[in-house]
Amino acid sequence: MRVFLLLIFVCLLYARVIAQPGNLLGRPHQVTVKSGSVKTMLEALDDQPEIILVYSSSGIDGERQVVLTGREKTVKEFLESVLKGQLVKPIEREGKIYLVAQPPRQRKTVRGFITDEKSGEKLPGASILILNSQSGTTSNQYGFYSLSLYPDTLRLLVSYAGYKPKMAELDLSEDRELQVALEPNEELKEVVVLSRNAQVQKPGISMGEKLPVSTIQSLPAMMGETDLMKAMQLLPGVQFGAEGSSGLLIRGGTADQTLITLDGVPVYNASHLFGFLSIFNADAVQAVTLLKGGFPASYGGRLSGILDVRMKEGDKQQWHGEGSINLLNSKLTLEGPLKKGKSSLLVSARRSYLIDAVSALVNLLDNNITSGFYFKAWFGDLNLKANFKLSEKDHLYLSSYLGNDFFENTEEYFATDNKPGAKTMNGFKWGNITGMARWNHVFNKKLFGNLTFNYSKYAFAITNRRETLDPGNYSLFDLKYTSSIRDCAVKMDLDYLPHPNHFIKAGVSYASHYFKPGLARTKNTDTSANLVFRAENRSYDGSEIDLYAEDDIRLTSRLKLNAGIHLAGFLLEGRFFTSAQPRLFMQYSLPASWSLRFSYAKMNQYVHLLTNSAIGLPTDLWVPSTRKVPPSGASHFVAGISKQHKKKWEWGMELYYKTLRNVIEYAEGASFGDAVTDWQTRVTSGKGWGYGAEWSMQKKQGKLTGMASYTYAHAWRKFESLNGGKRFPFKYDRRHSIKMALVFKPSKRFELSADWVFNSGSAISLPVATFYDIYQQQVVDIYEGRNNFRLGDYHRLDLSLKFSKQKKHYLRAWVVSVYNLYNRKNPFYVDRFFNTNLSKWSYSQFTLFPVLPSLTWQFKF
Amino acid sequence: MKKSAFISATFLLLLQLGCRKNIDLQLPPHNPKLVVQAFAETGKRVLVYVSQSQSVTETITRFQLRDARVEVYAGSQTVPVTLFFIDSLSAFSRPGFVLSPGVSYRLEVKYLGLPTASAVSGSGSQISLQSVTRLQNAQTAQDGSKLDNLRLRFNDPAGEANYYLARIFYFGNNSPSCLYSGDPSAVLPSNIINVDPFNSSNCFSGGGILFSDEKFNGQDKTFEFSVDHDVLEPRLNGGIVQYARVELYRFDKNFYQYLKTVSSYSRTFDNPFAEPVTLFSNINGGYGFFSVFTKDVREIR
Repeated sequence: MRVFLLLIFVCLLYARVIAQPGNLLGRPHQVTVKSGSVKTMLEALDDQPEIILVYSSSGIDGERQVVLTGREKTVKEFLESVLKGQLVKPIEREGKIYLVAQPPRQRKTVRGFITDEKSGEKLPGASILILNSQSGTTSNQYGFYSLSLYPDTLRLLVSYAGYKPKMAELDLSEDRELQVALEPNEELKEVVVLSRNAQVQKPGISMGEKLPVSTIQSLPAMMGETDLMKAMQLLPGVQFGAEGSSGLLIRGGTADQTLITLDGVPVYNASHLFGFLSIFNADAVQAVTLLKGGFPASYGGRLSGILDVRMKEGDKQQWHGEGSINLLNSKLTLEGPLKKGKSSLLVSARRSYLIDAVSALVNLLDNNITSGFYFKAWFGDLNLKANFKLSEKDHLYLSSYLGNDFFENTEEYFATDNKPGAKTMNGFKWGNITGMARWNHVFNKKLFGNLTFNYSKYAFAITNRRETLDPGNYSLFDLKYTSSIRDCAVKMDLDYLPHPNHFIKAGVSYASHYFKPGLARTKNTDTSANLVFRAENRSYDGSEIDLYAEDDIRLTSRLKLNAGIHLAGFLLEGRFFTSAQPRLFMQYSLPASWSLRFSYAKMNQYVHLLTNSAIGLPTDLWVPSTRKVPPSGASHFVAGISKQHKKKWEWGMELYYKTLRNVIEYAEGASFGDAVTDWQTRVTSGKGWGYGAEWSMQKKQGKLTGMASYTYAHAWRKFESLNGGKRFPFKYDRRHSIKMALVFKPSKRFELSADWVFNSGSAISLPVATFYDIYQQQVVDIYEGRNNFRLGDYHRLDLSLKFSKQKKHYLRAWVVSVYNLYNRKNPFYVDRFFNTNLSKWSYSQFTLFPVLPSLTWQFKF
Repeated sequence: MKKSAFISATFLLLLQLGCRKNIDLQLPPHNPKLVVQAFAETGKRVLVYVSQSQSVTETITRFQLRDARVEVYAGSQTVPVTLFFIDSLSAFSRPGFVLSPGVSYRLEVKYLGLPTASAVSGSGSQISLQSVTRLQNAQTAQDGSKLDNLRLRFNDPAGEANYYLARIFYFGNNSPSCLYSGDPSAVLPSNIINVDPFNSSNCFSGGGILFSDEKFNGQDKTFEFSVDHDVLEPRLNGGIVQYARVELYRFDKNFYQYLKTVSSYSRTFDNPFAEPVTLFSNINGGYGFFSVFTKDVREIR
């Protein structure tokens, strides 16, 4: 009985509640007609008991046809469906429902720059997250961002690796400018964001591998000199060539298939010391990004990868500097304001001296009465960057790099009467010059533009001079071989940010390439003749034009994609090569911080590097695509999965498949140094392919940070005229690769870092047998396949200890580092020699670098 | 400061101690194979050289294999002609046995313990020089010396891919150091040795020029090249006038490819930057080559 009475009470209460005049919109509504005009639908609702609709027919498009979903359960839901897209809003007043006209909603824009609070430098790729909606964007390469949203009170979280995140709240009832200056976080400096999966945390799509420069500087360095290219070699899928070389071979590609840019300017040879050190001075570098797949349309020109190095802009607030002295070289970087808050200048210089010291020692020990040996060698580079804030909307950047390497050895032979007899000199010189002028302009709240002029030149020269010094019997042989490539380019890029779900980029560029593959000049003079020979591989003038457009789209809260196209054309000798290169990158976020990715990219390359398979030298020649040597192409397919755990740990796996078309190699028996034969006849083109899987794990926070990765890879080549037309492994086809890097920082004063690398042996061509050729009357070697032999496995442990101390006026640090700690004898090259003890021929494997300890003194003020 | 200097000096010393280390490389064991070399002219006695490959670490000791079984099958014949090792020639041969133009031959070599080696080759029709014309002092070389032009006229059989080699010999069987040709068919010197990368002339060294009929198949061809004037001048030797001679060879693609790879191979000598070269071989189960050619010779009077 009690239950019955209780039920009656509840029913009455419910009837009372739904009959409340103040809850008309919440009243249940039964949809009887699912489609019809708005007017009909509203009239039908108005016919319902107790519902009075008040509206002006002029404010409503009554004829519009609507189709209901059938899921409308209440009057409010019914009205929202019927009036969808109309500028009216239902409100309830005094037992009636009024359809009130609404002012049109207009998006408002918040825009500005993300900068470093101390130096005023722009921070590219900073994350701007809208906490209200969990959407957002990232700043562009120049720190600019823009968000167009409906008026609201926004809560923004701005973050950047190595900086303290900053929260901002603003009322977006009108267009706003919000400049965000982030404070560097010294305590978090050890955070290693090897952010292959950075997009998990960031609202934008990030396709590059980024290593903070602070991390690069923490890693052990060969000879104590920090090398960002070597640090990038610790990333999965990135290989180096010969021991110690700083080239980047990405997923089975060659070194020339990686575009290296410094402030957007191509650098054609990024090595000092025959490749043992890269030209980038880490003290002058702000950010490094490596792309090895999923290329956005804004990038092009190479098949396998992009290394984008950005120089620091220079501190606009105060002058300061840093530098170091190690066994190899010393360097100094100074930066500061030209006009406080408005303009800045950065100067960074580096010069070697170890080689000079060794030369002096060699000169001292090696000279004797009958001959003299003199050796001179050095390298040096200079980075300059200036930036000027012309107005709130305009910035001008000027930057330049100048670098040179120089090697020369001279031998003097004395005649018996102690007079000079003869002299020979061999010289080797190479270097890059780059220059860039860039104008940033904010056209309006959604459009950012960037106009760039750049210049890049790489040249090398080999000299050989033999001279008899006897005046009565004078003769001279003087040889000089030179090669160069020079680019002049202009580029316009536009970033358009119409909506938080779109980040549109478009641009056009024109580049003039001048190739001088080889010029040899010999002068042969004696008492009876004076002959000058000049032989030259012809020069080429090429023009390249590129157009691109891409959109970073957020389709749903979980699905994002970057789609674009890169169109390229290359004109040489009346032949115009064109290519359309579609690009696609998709990312789907799963629950529990899992993320799926897929990308496709087609790439084209109009310049080729003629390189020998023996070693990588600065003598490698850059040449253009021609009728005989067509442009190279590549297609990349990448799929990956990643997971983030408590924002500390990250795990990822990527599968890739890559095809290469028209890649070139020297033909059998060909080599550089032939200035007579047309280089086009010395090369042969073929195809290649590579595939593999990369696993990686990172720890990004805490006293101990680091990464570990394992790569399983295959890289193949197939040329009709090589290896009998059969496929053969790429020289640096390394099946297994394990890499680890750890940084342990228990206190501000002490830091320990280590890296360990394992690569299975690279391929090499060695003869399998010999026989006596009766017609050539000599012993000949038999090769059964190119790259038919595997060198031994490569592995190495490096360690670094850093002791820092704040002095009265400066911060100083001692860094003790050891390269190849356990003295692994890694293979560099193989040579055959006659072993007189065994009376037989033997092969020897040469190791270049044994254990190499070094000491560096660093200072910062 | 002293401590730092000491540490630096110690490190520098360590650095100097270890520059490069030799490590013996273990190569997989070599399985020897037969090496058969036979460049046989039609109408002339056949010589087949047989040896075996050796490990790259061994010093070559086995120049000939005397006990091999060498057989030649002509056309579709099932009964072979067996050749014997002749000491004076250091080769397998058989008196009176010659090859004919236009016939395909199969060479088979067997040796106990080694895989059987075989190859097929055949020359086209017999080559015949229709005329040889000498134009004296037609050109001047870069060093100022006078060059004579030689024009070889011959017919190239239609429907065959033929390859040619033109060679010059003068007093004492010498070959001139340079032949010059701008003929588009000329592809490679017969035996490039030490090509000077800084030599701007189109010198074909090795005494011969290799060319193919790709551009004149089935036509009358006049092949023109230049040679030092003095080379072609008659010389008196013991009261006998000796004339220079020109030889024109015609052979199949096998030998052409072999010569091409020999040419490339020779360029790799002492060149650490050169790509390795695989010598062409048409011997199944072994190394070397077997090629039949025809030849015509004229004295230059």
